[in-house]
Amino acid sequence: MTHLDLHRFSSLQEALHTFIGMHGSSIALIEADRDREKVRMDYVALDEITKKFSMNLVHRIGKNHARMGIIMSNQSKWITSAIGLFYTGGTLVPLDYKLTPEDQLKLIRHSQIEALVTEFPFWKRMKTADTDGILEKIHVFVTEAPEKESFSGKTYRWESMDASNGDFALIPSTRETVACIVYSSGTGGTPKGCMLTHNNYLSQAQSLSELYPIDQDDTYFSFIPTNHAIDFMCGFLLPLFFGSKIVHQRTLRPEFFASTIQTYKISHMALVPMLLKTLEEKIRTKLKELPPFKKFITNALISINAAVTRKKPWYGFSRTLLAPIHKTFGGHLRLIFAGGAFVEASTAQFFYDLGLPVVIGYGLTEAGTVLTVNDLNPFRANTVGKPLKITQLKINNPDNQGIGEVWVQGATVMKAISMPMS
Amino acid sequence: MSDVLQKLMDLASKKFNVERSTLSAGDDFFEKLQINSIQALSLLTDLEREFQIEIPDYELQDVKTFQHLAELISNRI
Repeated sequence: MTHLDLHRFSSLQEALHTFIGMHGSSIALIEADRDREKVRMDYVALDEITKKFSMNLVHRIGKNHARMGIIMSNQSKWITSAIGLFYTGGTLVPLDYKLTPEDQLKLIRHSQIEALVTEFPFWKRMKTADTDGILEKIHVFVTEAPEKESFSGKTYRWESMDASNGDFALIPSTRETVACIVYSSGTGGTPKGCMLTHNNYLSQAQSLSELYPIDQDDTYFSFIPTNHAIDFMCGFLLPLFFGSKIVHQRTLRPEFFASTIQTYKISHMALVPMLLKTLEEKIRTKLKELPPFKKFITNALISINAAVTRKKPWYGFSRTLLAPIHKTFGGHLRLIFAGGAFVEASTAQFFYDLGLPVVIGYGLTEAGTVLTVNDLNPFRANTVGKPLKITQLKINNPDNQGIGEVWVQGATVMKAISMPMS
Repeated sequence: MSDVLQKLMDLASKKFNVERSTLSAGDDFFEKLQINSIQALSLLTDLEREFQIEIPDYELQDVKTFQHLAELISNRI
């Protein structure tokens, strides 16, 4: 396993530029739409396209350090656009493509972005709802628009990049510069923009990489959208820092989930608890449908695996013992990251007993990705683990059951919050 | 359109074990079938196979009723 040292970098763009430049012809990004592969890009091509996008952005906007939003589903252009923006010293505002167009426009206004990258169908929906013409006032880069569609003013076809205006320059930022403004409805329900710095992300990436290092041969399956904090860290920054592969699947349908994992030999993926539960139910149904003797044997093998791996995972053993189950997951799956909501202990334990450890984290947008994460020494399904080394937590004024407000301090805590929306 | 609607409701009732006679065009299918968004996407896959069409995930975003879903399918046939 490679050891990642991010301490020497002062910004995400510096780290990304360095690591992307190191991995040459290794595959960086694969994008599938159902069973069709749409994009396969090595690190050389990624380097080229991200630089081209950054030059195009500066050419269109006329300056560096812009604030840019992204409203896109799971796809490679999310990542190339974000990196291109970081190269210009810009600030990223990841927005949820599943929001209504009215809510997306509200956040566009509130975040005061100067540019937006979005997919054609989302742009069309927002245009219809855009009563005050905010989309005319900012620079909009539309991906995958039909050939017949023509754009004017400040709206451009993403694919028609004009990078003829000057040479590429990597614009530096300090660790304290805001890298992203991430909107969170939080527990209060009022959306607010959390201003997360380069230091927040680099510190989080460093600590997670020490707990769960990735190998260059690993492949991360990006199944949840990259605007989600878990995917931003585990399905964007970390795999590129380690020189591994990221596979995007454009559809969230369970029917294409297994085939993608098998085809691309997925080793890591992140799932929200609802997806994890759906997957558990599907496996349980299949196990129930087995003929009685086969069911008895399979359950016995699962119990043996659970007993043998109680202290720590033993991937080779689990894959051999429960080969048919692991084959459904492509035979290479090592870790499932879960978070964003409560993960049932029984679900996490179910997967662990199959030899598929679930890493459960607890965090909030205001503090990057996770504040605590469980380790596998040994695996415990009923906990969100210990605080990361860079985080201090305390329960303020706990009641007699130990319940109280969680107070946190550490390198991943946001710099500031943008004014709440009225 | 009514053919599509009937087929759609037949398929949904069978897939999620809900009595067919209790379903009507204007029903919110999330509520009536007691399904989440992932299960709705799975239903969409079955419908695509049935009608030999392809509908992107995002088109399901604002769709809640059987009627609306049938319209979406009819527009693609």
